[in-house]
This record gives sequence, structure tokens and C-alpha cells, in this order.
Amino acid sequence: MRPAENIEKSIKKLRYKTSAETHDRVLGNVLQALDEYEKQKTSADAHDIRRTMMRSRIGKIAAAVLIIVSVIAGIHFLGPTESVAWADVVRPILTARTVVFNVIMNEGDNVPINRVMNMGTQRVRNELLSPDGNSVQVIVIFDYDTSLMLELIPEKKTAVLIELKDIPEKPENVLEEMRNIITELQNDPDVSVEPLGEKEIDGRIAKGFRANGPDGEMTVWADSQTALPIRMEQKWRQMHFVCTDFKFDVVLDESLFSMEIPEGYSELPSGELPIASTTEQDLVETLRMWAEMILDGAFPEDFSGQVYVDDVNKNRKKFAKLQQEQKVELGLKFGRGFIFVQLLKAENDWHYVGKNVKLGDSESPVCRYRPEGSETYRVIYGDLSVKDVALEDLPQ
Amino acid sequence: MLEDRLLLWKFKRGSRAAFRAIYEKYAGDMLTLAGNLLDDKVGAEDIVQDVFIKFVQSIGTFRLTGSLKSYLATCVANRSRDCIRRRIRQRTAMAKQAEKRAVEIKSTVHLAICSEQLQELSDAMTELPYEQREAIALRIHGNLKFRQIAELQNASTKTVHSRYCYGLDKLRSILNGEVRK
Repeated sequence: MRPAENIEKSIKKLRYKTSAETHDRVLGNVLQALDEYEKQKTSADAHDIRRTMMRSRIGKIAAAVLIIVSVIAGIHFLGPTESVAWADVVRPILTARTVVFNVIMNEGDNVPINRVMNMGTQRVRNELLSPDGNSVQVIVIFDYDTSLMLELIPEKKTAVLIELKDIPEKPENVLEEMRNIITELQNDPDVSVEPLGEKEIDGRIAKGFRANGPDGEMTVWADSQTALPIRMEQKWRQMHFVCTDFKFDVVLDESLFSMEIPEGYSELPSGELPIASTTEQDLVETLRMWAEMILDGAFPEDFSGQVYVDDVNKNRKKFAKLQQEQKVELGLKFGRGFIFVQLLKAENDWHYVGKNVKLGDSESPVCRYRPEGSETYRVIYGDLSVKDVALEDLPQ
Repeated sequence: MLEDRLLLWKFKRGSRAAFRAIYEKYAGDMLTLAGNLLDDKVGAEDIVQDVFIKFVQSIGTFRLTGSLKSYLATCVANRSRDCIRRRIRQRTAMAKQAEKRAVEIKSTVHLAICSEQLQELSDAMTELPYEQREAIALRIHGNLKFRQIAELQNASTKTVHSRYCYGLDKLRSILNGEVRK
């Protein structure tokens, strides 16, 4: 009987085996890993900390929030005068209840600090501080209950209220979120966790763990006594964030999260920022604007907030004549493409290859992703045409 | 099923013998599954090893909600997919076949029943689009339900069923010489 005649029965016979030596070696390696694991399992508390913190569960909303903050704030810093260089993007770590912490990117001298304050799980205030920490440059307040975002520029006394449309998911209470992570991890061995031992941070003994997940890597240093995080480092795609100065259960004044326009501020026209409804066309438009308006017909080195902000800063003169309202509008347009990419999942297999590609080049791919449930990839080329391409035909 | 739960219970309480029993029971099935999912077979034993290492490392918090075999099969499928994705990035399509042959020679993983027909079928499996191959391998070798495969592939049950059927049809065509490899 040929296999084609009863294909399922034949496939059942497609069993693989290995040599007895290989079998024993694999079993030996697994048992050795078990030995090491049991040695490292020193305390239940430490175990819980790492389980809780290891996996980056920064929700898609938080990622979108980051992009909104960085893109819009980045545009605002463009002007004819030399302002403090805005070279970093920031993101909150967790949408947590009464938690305050600092986020910085690429630690070093003269790096701006983003102070993140969480009131419950529905309201977040971001303050972009100058590198010396003495002045607040941009304030962005989010209210997820009303899907509104208020951006304040203290120096210019301007305010913009933006509606966040079509938010796909509401952030959960941080404690619930952590419990969910633990539960998920119980059934998910695909997140590898590596203990880093102990070290002293700010006079406290901290235990470190590093987790490698599909979207990036996260390192957590937690107080060995209280189990609270002291420092978190996260590499997520091309971004590297460090979160420090955590304060838990602090009393935060309601006024910090008010969506009212503060007295003395002039309100710029409001805008809308659709989140879940961003489309491939938004990505195409962001690529087009980036190449045309910023890079004189070239596509960026990488599709990341960091590269975007760097490119904008290097070309700030091009935006010198824009009015504040136009800058807001431009920021919102750029943001849509970023959000589209941020909302892609690991299985969408997003890949950017636009470095050295010129606008109009119909042969060279700029980026690709696989839409959910699709057998083929969507490939965007240098002339911004989009084609469906099978996996085996993807350009190298 | 009950036996697995008992083994898990013992393993959680430190029984090495219980873990060995789990390993002996499922390592072969998982190797077969990985072998059917991968283009070449050289990574199959690594995938099985990684899955079992992660399994033992998570045993402190592990909670079985379905069958242990389905759970392990899902882990094997996830790792196989990652492995294939990495390799696709690393090599050109032109080099793919040559490399596949070269690594298979080095591989210690082989068909348990060695026949020309089964080798032909094994080669034909690698010609299938990955989702179809995955649906077939998980259904037949992983004993997963279409609903479970759908969750893994982030697709509807209907889509997965179609992938399964299309995959079988394509295999028949290849084996009958209707499709040029």
C-alpha cells in the first residue's frame, strides 16, 4: 500500500527515534537542569518575585501610551531655538495602583527622566523632567475611563486634549495583573528565567533575575527583604529602559490627574488618536512622512521610537515654521503608524529592513508582517506598494 | 490521565523516579512530533531537551489543566516554530535544501521504521506550508484537538480543520506525483 492511499495511517508511522546514547544524554541534561533549579530555589518569596516580574506584561495600551508620549512630545520640542535635546522615549512599566517610579532610557549623563505616577489603574500621569530633575518639560495625563489624554507644556502654557479611540483592552489592576502572570507562567515554560544572584543597590541587598520572552528581555532587581522591585531593566525590540526609584502606596493628590485645563493655559484644538483601528495604511503613511519630511527620501535606519526621535532632532529646522497645532496634528499622524506596529503580536512576525532603501524603490522591501490568520505576508516596498507574499517567496 | 496526575504529584514532592517515568513515557512522542514539525531533524532532540528542562524548572508552580501530553506537545510546537523562524532568517531559500540534507546526515534523529515510502512521505511533509504541517503533526502525533490547535495557531477551528485537510490533500498529490517537488 502506497502512503497516499491511507495518508493518516501512514503519517502515524512517521515516528522518529534517536540513539540510546543521545536519549541518555538528553535525560542527563534535563536531570542536571533539575538539580541546578532545586539548588537555586532558595526561598518561596524570591521565587514569587521573579515569577511576577520576569515576564514583560506591559500591555499593548502601555506601549501605545509610550508612543503617544514620545511622538507628540518629540514634535513639541522641535523649534527654531536650541532646546534641551530630547533623545529618549519613555514608557511606564506597569499600570499599577499608587505606584510612582522613574523611567530613563540609555542611562548616562544628561538623560531626561520620565516620572510616572499611577492613580488606581485607570489614571496615569507622566512628567518628563529635565536631566537635572529640576523642571517639568511635558506632562501627559491619561484617563482610561474616559479615554482621554491631556498634554500640558508648562513652559509654553499650552494644553491639548486628545481622545484615545477604540482602546482594545482596559488595563487591569496591577495586583490582578501580577496574579494573572503567575497563573500564566505556571503553564508556560517558554519564558526562561535566569537567577543573577545578589548585589547591593542603594544600600539594599537585591536579588536579580533575568527573563527572556518572545518580545524581549527583562531584568529585575528586587529587595531581598521586602520582595519589592528596586530596579527593572527592559530591552524591548530596539528600546532599553531602566526603571528606578519605585514608591508604592504613596498618597497622590487627585489634582495631579485632573483632566481640566489648568488656569493660565491656552487650549489648542483637540484631536483624536484611534488605537485599535489603526491600519496598515497608517503604517504606510508614517513611512511616507518619515522618508519625505524628515530624511529627504530615505527610509529610517530602524522603525523605532528612539530612531524617530533622533531623526527628528537632527532635522528640527524642517519643522521650525510649523504652528503648535500643526505639530500636534503631525505627531498624531506619525503616532498611528507606530501604534499599528506596537499592536502587532510576536506571531505577526514583524520585520523592518528599510535601512538604505530609498523612497520610490519598487524592488526593495521596507518591512513585512503576517496578518492574523493569513497564510501570506504583507510586504511594503520602497515605493510604498504593498504585496501579499508567501513565506517561501519572502525577499531575503 | 490519572497516571500522569499521580506522577506529577510525586514529582512535585521530589520524586526523581516519577520524573523519569514521565520522561520515558513522552520523550519519544515529543521527538516524533518535533521531527515531523522541523524541516530537518537535527534540532528535534534539542527541542525535546529544552521543553523538558523548562518543564522541570517550572514544576514548583506547574498546574495541569488538560492532558500532560497536550501540554508538552504545545510546548514542542511553540519551540519548533521559533526554531524554524530563526532558521528562515538565517539562510536563503537556495541553500535550504542543501543545508537540510547536510544536517540530516549529521543528525542522530532518524525514522523509527526505515522504508523508502516513509522517507518519501517524510520529505513530502516538509513541502507543506508550515501551518498545514503543524496542524497534521499536532493532530496525529500530538493528539491535540482541532480546537487546541486553533488556540495555538491563533486561528478559528474551521481554519485549522481546513489546513489539516488541505495538507493531507497536498501530501496525496505529492506522493502521487501530481505536484512537482
